Amino acid sequence: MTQEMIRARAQLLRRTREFFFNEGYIEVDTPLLVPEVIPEAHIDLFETCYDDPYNENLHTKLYLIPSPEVSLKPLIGTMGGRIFQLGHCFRNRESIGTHHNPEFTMLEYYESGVDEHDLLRRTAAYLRYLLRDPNLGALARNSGRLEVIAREPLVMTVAEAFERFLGIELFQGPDDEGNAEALAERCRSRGLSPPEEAEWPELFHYVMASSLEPALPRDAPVFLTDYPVGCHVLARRGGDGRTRRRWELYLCGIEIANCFMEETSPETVRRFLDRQEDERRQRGASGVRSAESIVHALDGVSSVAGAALGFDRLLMCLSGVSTIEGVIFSPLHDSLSRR
Amino acid sequence: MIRAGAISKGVCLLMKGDPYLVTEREFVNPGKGQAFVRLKLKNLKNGQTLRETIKSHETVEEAEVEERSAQFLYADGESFHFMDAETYEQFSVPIAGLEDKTNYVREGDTYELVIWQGHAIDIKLPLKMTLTVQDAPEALRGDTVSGATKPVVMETGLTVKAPLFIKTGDRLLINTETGDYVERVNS
Repeated sequence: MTQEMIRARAQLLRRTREFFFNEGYIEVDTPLLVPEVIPEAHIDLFETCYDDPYNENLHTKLYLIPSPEVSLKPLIGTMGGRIFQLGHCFRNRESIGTHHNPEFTMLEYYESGVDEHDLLRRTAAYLRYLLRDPNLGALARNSGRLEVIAREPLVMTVAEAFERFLGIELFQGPDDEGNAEALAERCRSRGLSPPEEAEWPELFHYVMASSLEPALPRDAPVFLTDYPVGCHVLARRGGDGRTRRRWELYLCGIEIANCFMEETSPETVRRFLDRQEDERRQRGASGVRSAESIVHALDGVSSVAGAALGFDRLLMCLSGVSTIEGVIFSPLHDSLSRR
Repeated sequence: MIRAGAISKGVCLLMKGDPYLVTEREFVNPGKGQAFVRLKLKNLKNGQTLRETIKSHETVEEAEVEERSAQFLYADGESFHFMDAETYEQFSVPIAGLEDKTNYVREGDTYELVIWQGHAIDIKLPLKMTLTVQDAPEALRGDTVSGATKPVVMETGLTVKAPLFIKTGDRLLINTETGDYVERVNS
């Protein structure tokens, strides 16, 4: 990381906090080390242990957070209003690559009484605010990204993006969601080679990774909205029954942020946790202690929207640096290769 | 066999009976779904490019290759030419698919070549390499915002975005995967 990047990073931290303070948000700094997490099928954790100095039989398993949502959801459920956390998160067993370091910085923000579209507008305003800073604006101008990030965002549903960029109908007919073979056939007819006998979510993520993400425009921020209901996440179902109220932001071809109109029903959250634990067992992942507090965290709350944004990736986009190790202190890859 | 998640740039794979060199690799870990590896591959029989997306935990067959040290002589439009400094045996590596490597080869320097069935197919580069600045324009006065960079041309012809204080003749550490400036090397 160059000295110039250290300065740019400091400026981005400062302006990010400033933007959210100006918008009436409260900054919270909840624990990075927690005894319980929200289990997720495809996320592995760093585990450690607290050893009691005076009771050698007392060892408490602890996790480094993969995201602060385990603490932020109960907080927003209790206090309402607007909160954000800007801090480090940890994910194990992810290959270290151009966009991934096991320790990374996440900006997570929750707002009650709004929906995902309000948070989309707030996120777009945040990007514009950053560019008004003379140093960050110059950084983006220098990297040729200023016009790209400043441009009016493209907002479209995932189904529209499938149709527009791949010529594939995501849903065909009224009861089509969940029919993996029919979707695989439509993909093959457009020249794609989806994995054999893939279930619907896997097939969907394959098309996203292999074809849609590389085809998304890179000359403006792109918000993809209304994800298929078959992707099981803690976002509420949309009125059409086949989508979830979720968006993702792509900037310069990189996935930057993910937002949910948060699921509040305890029964639905309970089913989600059970399903994630099942899927973890099926793929042989270690069991984790599930945060039961999350089940009732938003019970009775009328509406909460929450977003998580990859801070390091945003700095990559602003600066034009092509790997995450160029924008973070001591990337793990470097530390491992020095040993 | 190799797990797709362990594939790196420069690995040789056997897919559908043909040998391929991995020229680009990107991990996609969406968190909310299955992890994949996006690959750009060069067919070693016909030079054609193929793009593949594979689940990270799937296995792929690796092609058997060997490595050999050789000195870089020159590049023409089609190939890089090398010579084994001990046996004087010469090798040529087709440039197609490896165009970015023209930025990191220096006459007289020794590199590891990847050999598949007697053919030299790839040049292994160190992850970071020191190159000398051949041309660095003077920074404009007043252009002092943090993070500001200017394009400088290295001895191999590579253009790098470097900080404003970099001058002609400076030696810079460059990331050969990305072409990014890492730091000035004090010597």
